[in-house]
Amino acid sequence: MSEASKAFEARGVSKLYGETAVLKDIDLSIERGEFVVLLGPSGCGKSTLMRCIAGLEKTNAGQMLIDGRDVTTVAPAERDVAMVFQSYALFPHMNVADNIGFGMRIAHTPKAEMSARVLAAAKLLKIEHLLDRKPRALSGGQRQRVAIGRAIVRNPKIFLFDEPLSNLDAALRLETRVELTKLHHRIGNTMIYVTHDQVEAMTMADKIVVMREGRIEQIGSPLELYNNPKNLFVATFLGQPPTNVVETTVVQSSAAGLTVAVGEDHLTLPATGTVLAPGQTVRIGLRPESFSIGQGRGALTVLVDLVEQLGNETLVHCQLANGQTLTLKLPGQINPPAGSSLALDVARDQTMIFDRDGNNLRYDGRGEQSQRGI
Amino acid sequence: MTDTATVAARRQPRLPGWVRRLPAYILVWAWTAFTLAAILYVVMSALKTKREVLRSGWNLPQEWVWSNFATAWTVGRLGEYFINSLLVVGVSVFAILLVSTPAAYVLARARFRGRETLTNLFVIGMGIPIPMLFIPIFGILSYLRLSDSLTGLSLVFIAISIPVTIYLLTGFFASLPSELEAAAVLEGCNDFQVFWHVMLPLAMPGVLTALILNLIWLWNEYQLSLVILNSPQNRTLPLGLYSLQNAMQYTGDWPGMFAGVTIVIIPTIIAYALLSEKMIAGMTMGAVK
Repeated sequence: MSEASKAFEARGVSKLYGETAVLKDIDLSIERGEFVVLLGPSGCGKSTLMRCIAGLEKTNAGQMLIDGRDVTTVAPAERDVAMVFQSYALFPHMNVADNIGFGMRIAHTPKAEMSARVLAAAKLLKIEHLLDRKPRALSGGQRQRVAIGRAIVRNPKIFLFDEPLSNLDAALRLETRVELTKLHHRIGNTMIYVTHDQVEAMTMADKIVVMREGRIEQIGSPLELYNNPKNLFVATFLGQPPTNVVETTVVQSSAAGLTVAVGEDHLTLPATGTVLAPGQTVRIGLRPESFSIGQGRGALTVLVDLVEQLGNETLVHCQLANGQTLTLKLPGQINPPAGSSLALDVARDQTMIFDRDGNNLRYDGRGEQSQRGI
Repeated sequence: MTDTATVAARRQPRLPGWVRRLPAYILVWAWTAFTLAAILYVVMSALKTKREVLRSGWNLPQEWVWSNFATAWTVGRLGEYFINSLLVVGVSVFAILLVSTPAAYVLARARFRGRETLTNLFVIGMGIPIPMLFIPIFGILSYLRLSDSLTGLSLVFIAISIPVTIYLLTGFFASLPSELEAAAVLEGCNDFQVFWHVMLPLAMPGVLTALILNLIWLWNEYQLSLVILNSPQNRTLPLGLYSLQNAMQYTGDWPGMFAGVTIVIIPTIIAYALLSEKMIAGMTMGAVK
């Protein structure tokens, strides 16, 4: 696609707080209409990146473009972005209508147009009956809608969401998640969404940007990241419960396949690009759902520690013979007694193999290159 | 010894909440009773005859002598002094807030070099004892030909109240969530609009607190007024009250003086009654968030 059609682009953006670098050489490009989630643990720089996009923080190096226009030094109000804050940041002394219409009031929009647009936004979010209320008379979910309404009414080029669901209870969070996704389909604006919740990221994103310590670890669609993580960090950050990481010793490695020793069991996996020396330690990543109860001997033998019933599936916490722990996610309701042993089969093509630095030896970088537009 | 003491203390069941709060309640009620009694005595005495004030003490007035107020207002010239006080205090409080509120906002929120030094400078200003300033202030006012004038007194009131007012309001602005500012900026506000449309309305409880505290202390201010004002026609109410008391030595008109005291305290009581709810909200803001 042509350069001008990118909704947002960051080129080598860095940000320092005093001596500490919180964003390190960020390259990111976002297509028009995309729903992009910035995902990472707290302190990874995702919120800072969002505040830099909004213009609330100045960057120390690099360039940022919105719709092809260099906005690196442009004032927040002139970037044509709207932001929904974690605390919603509603003005407590104004009623809902004034909150939604505040930007237009500052811009001296004619009253008739203002109230028409406020009403339209309120109807879209089904809050038209709340227009006269003050924020303190609203529930958490309603406040959130007002905050979204204040963003929508300006029809910005980019919506920024800073962990908007983290103050809602679990049921409302699920509901709002679905509604936000629907809203995105309906209005089609570019949205950038910050969260540390991988479920939100997986379910809402067209594209996930995984960040750690001020750097982008990997960019891709949710399933690309899930199936083809670049490294141990991405592999363990996505997926609930997290990927099991098991230390193993290479027994045999060839172009045909890789055999590793897990305690007393041997596991034969599809070959990786690199041939590994026998005796070398590698970590393998096993998704909790890639196990099944084995027919006969199975590939791995484990001792059951604890069983958690979720109704439709069962989480089994267990130990390998050498003491390493595993979490299994098995379909249906099974109830192996604690202390009993289980023979497990492993879906071998779903295993990940990590070298000493945590890089996934199975990682196939093609998806990412197309994402980065290289 | 200490060990056994702590063990014994631990074994004792915790006293119920109201028992533990009892000393505080007793103190507050005693204080309230004392204050109310003093006000009651003053108001009652203001309605008695000269003879009755000296004889009857705490009894209700036998007949209500409203003319004491008229005497204080006209003969004691409290009417003129009341207008003087109203002018000086009104103008001063308005100017203090006009200067301090934006200054406090900037000191609390803006990021610039020397911000802390500037804030500390105001804090130091709070620590200077007012009597130390009598002579320099008098000198400066004479030089400006503003001594013995209400304008001069107003300027001094404003200058002396600004540090403490800024200090109070800086704390207020600092306690407001910064996301509201960010939201306003994204909505297109410039710095002044952020202040005017968002931060100032939210700091209103604080501004009202500053208003009422300044109002009360300036209304009752005596020392500076005494130093600065000489002419009888320029006196403010506290000075007027003092001259009324002096006159008492010759006239013995105690009820007249009590009527004067009542005239002086009533405005602050009214102001407090109107604004106290907001002021208490302001004082506890931040503590219960």
